[in-house]
Amino acid sequence: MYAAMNAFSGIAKLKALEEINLLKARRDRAADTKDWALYESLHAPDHRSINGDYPPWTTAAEMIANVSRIMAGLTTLHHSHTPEIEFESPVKARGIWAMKGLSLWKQGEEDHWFVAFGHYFETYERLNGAWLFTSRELQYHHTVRSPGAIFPPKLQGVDK
Amino acid sequence: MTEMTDIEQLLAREEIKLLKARRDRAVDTKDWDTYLALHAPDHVSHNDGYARWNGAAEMIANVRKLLGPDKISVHHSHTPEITFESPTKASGIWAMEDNIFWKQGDEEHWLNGFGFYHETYELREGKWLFTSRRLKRTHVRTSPGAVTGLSKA
Repeated sequence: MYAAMNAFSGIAKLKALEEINLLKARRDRAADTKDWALYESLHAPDHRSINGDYPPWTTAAEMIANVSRIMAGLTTLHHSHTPEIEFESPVKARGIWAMKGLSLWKQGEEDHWFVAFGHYFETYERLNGAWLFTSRELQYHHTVRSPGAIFPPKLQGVDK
Repeated sequence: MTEMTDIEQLLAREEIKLLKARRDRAVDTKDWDTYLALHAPDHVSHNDGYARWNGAAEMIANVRKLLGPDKISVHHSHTPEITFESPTKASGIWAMEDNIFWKQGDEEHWLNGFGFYHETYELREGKWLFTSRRLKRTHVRTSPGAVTGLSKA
């Protein structure tokens, strides 16, 4: 692997960096436009999600079932900034991204909101020529919510 | 500049972006050892509202005090304009937004600022480091009654 890393320099590394940046951009856009087919296609089937609000999800299918339900009633904004990408090998990488999230929804007639600042800790793998997410952990740094907000949304009737 | 190929410059650009990402995360997680390690010893800081700080040690002493355990900070940086003076010297301008949260007694207070970081970087012993940072504010808003310690001078 050491020899492989030495060979992985210059253009190959720059190209992989751009592809991982593109992967991240598509994920943020897919989440906010609720394009779940696109969202799922960006993740390896055995993708693991860890996000303090819910128990860990251990496959992409489980993640999609939950995320699509959770976000059905929310208008969301996910903005990601200043990546720190490190390569373990030419086909494996880790990334840390600063994030801001905003969720807007109604409780009856009342408008509510939740703002989060934090970091995403992610891993990526190149599988069949395409970079995919293999894990994502969101660590909140600070959150603020409207008075009376019920967040995160309850997960009724979703298989764990 | 004749010494730097296109690929070398693209790689250096990525190193500088990584430096910046680490700095923003180090300040918000109060990881002062990492923060210090990203700056040259002779780094000069000049933030609107504060005196100039000469040296990384002086900067750390001040930043630690300003962003003590009672403050939660969020620094987000965007859309870098990085230009190279030589293969070992560069300057950058980054759009920035910061959010600071703290309590005064039982009251929650906040500051939300906007502006641009004007920075310089140098490659020293194989590593890109910050050599100066000037924060030029375009706007700062605060919660009613907030005490920020920012000088109006």
